Amino acid sequence: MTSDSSVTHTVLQPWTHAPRTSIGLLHRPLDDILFWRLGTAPQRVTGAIFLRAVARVAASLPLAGAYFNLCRDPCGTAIALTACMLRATPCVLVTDPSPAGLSALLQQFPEAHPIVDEGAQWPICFAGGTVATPLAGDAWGPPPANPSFPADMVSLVGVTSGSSGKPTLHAKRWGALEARNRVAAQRFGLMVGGRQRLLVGTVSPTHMYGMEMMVLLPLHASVTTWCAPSFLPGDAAANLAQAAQIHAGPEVRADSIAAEPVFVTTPLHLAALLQAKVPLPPMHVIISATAPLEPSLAERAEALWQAPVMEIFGATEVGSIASRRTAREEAWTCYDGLSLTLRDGATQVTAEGAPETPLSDVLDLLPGDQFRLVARSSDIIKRGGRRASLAGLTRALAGLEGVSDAAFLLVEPTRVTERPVAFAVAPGRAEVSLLAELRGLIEPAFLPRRIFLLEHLPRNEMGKLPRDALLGAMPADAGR
Amino acid sequence: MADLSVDAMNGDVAAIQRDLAQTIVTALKLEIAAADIEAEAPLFTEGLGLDSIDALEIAVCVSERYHVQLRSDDPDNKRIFASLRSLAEHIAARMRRPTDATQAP
Repeated sequence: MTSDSSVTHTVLQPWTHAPRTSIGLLHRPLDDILFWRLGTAPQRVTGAIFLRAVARVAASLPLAGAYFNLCRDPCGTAIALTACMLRATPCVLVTDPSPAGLSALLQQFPEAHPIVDEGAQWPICFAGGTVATPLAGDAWGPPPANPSFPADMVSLVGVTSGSSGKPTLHAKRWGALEARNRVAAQRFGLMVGGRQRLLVGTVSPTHMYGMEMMVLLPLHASVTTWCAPSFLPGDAAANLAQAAQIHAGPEVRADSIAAEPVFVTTPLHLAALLQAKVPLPPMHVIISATAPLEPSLAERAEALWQAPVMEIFGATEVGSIASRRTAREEAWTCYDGLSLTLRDGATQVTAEGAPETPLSDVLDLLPGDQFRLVARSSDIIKRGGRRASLAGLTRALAGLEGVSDAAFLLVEPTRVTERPVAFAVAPGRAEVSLLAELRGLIEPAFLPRRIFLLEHLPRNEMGKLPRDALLGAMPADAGR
Repeated sequence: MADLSVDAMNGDVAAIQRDLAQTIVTALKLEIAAADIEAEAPLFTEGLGLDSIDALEIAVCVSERYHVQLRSDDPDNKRIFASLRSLAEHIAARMRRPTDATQAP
């Protein structure tokens, strides 16, 4: 426990040394619309409405302890995030809100206060109750102040499931987040002062990619995030169609919002949209991240929807660092203000507002701030914006009663909807009961399609499990 | 897969239910015969044990095969996704009223 609390303590320190630069929360006029909400009033969340909500939520936060950001709505997530910053305590971004995921986090932050969307229900009872992020309330009065924060203040803590099974924490500093916003806005033609565009996203705002694009970008770029779920092809098509109509509607001045929205998505959703053959309106740009985008998929999307498909290269350690137009170029171009150097056999990233950070991926550095990807850290599998390590999944299965050996395998690792299969040596146990127990331990997206029960796993003389040997151990009638 | 039968095309629930069972088994590569999916059993968590990624794959197949768009913010989703039969009934209703299927709420 000692090491746990020291880690927690370090991460929750809002800044490490005396603040130098301070950076404003909003870089936009207070009457710009940051978030467009459906259903609940007010629909158009301007900078002024946003700042009032932030001040109100900040005032209602308990004084001591950590804050869990459990919001699922991008606007609510942004309010919770910045309210915590006003209290000089970074919020913890909860990516896995399952009972098991929350329990693991609560071990690291025993005194945590959850901030949730208004009306949201949570299966775990938090001792102090929950704090909501309502927008309604005092809409009148003098314009609220736009607060500033030190550039080196930790403003949020991301969580990934580490290879040890314990949540790994990633501190994000305000200056680095703001700098990344600025260069992303420049890269995708969304700078403040240009036409405002609606942004429709299929990703969760609690994933770092969703956080950067759907929650933080509206604070510093000329975008308005569309706050409605877009997970299914029908959702994305309807939301994009509605967003594309806003500029012609009575709600906004005709010249204030451009007709073509920005679409923030993943290879999984792009593949689903292409296969479902749903029509999409003209778009300004389609942005993809979270998993490698096949160039052929990018080409088909560009041909069908007549919009550039830009892929973002991100790494857990540092967030987004580069982009490319995947249908046309293989090399990635670094974001401005960011540089890569090779040292100690690893690529080091130096970005504005962040310390030099080594990357676990293997890159081939090219002149002109470009690079080619040689290999991703291979153990990590990603599904729909969630991540897990094959080692961690294997550990969960091997830990079940009666299981003496276990392995997970991706049969077709390049298929974005691929689901792992598992192998276990478990005399006297049935596949169905093992699956039922696993369901309580790992996220649904990573549950194996099948668990093949074997007398022994095909380990080689090194004790390793060659991929081919595992493939060979699958029964012939097991589909692929 | 074979073409949609005339009955299914006309929005016949029983025909769509049979066709949908086969579509789901094929798309998700389930280790079960289409005829063995219980019409009333839950599709998700218990029963077939499907998850949100499977829901995405099912939504894609339903769009491809029946030209019906499923929505994750549909207030009736709990009922629609409750079982094979309820999903087939929803698709049948949408096929009979095609304009509702493509319009935003």
